[in-house]
Amino acid sequence: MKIEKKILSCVKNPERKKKNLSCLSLSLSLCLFPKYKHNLFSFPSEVKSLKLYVTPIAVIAFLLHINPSLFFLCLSTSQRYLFLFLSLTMVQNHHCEDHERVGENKEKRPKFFINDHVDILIEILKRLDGRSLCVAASVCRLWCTIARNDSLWENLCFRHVSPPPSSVRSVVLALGGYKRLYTGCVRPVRSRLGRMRKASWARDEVQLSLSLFCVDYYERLGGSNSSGRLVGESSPSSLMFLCKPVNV
Amino acid sequence: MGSTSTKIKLRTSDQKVFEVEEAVAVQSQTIKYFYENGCPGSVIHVHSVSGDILSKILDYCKKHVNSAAGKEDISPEELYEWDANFVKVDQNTLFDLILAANCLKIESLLDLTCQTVANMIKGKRPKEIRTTFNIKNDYTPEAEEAVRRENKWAFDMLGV
Repeated sequence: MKIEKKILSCVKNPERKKKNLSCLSLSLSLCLFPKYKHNLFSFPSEVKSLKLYVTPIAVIAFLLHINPSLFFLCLSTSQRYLFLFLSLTMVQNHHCEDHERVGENKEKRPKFFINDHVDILIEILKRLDGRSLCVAASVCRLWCTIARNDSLWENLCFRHVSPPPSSVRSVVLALGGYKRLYTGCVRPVRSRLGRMRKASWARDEVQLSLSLFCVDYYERLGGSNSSGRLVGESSPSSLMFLCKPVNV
Repeated sequence: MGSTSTKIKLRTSDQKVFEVEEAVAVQSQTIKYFYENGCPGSVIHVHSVSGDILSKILDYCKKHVNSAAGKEDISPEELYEWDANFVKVDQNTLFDLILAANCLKIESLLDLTCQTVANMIKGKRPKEIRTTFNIKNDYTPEAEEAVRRENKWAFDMLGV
């Protein structure tokens, strides 16, 4: 009964199904058990979509047009064991071959690891929004290094403006970089104008963001007590309130 | 474009040969380069791409060439939907497509596939991203906390 269970599990195993293995040979081995004598053709439904592998028993049975199990019953005990042995050996061989083949495949095509392809990773992270990019920085050190790269933030700041303002780069870099510009000025301005934004507004948005950025920089220059403050966390006298929605 | 268009032969890493219309094949800047600078009629080897992936990519190029040339009556919305279905594949296939698009230099396909992966990252927490892409966390707890603090606003909105 142990063998029966093993064979049954083999037939039902989807992994094996996929690999078009000798399910028929397995099925036929099953019919050697009295339980399946009469329903041999009911269970190949498990395997009917497969390319079939034909065992010695099946060959002979098909040639003689008889039910393999009946054929099997005609055999002497020693012959039965021989056939059983033959079918199982073939199953076993196939099993081994299968494993080898899978191994080969793995060698040929290793599983893709995203961090092995930095150029592609950059392409992917370039397409994130600001918030996801900040979260992505916490994934691992490599992602953090990429997420801190200012060219990604430049792309984020002016993604919706065409053509992107190129002449402002040196100014932005001098005043603290594109990441700061994005988190401190572009994002608040855009979320504030988000509801009524039109394509033609983009230019004004850029101007407003850049003006705010100058204000931010000026205020950072201000007292040494405010040097540790993050963008957007401004003192009551700060002009950065311009970033926030106001009721007029 | 003439009625009898020239065919370009491509051979993949698994030695499958594809015969492709010129207009479709030159969507790839790499193939275009080899086609224009190689012997006419010779087979172009695409070493890094398998047959399965190349046939998918050619489907994509064909669709886009046909719709751009007006051979196929398809609205931009329908094409957008077709693209969305095109990238509904398992992660390994998706990355194979990215690698192939990158090496064949098909800008629009690279954009489509990278955007798909970017969408998989959006809205996820770092831990979920690591699981999705099987990435090991190489931060010390302090360093992770520091990076987190640096990008605090993003996490606030994520509700973590």
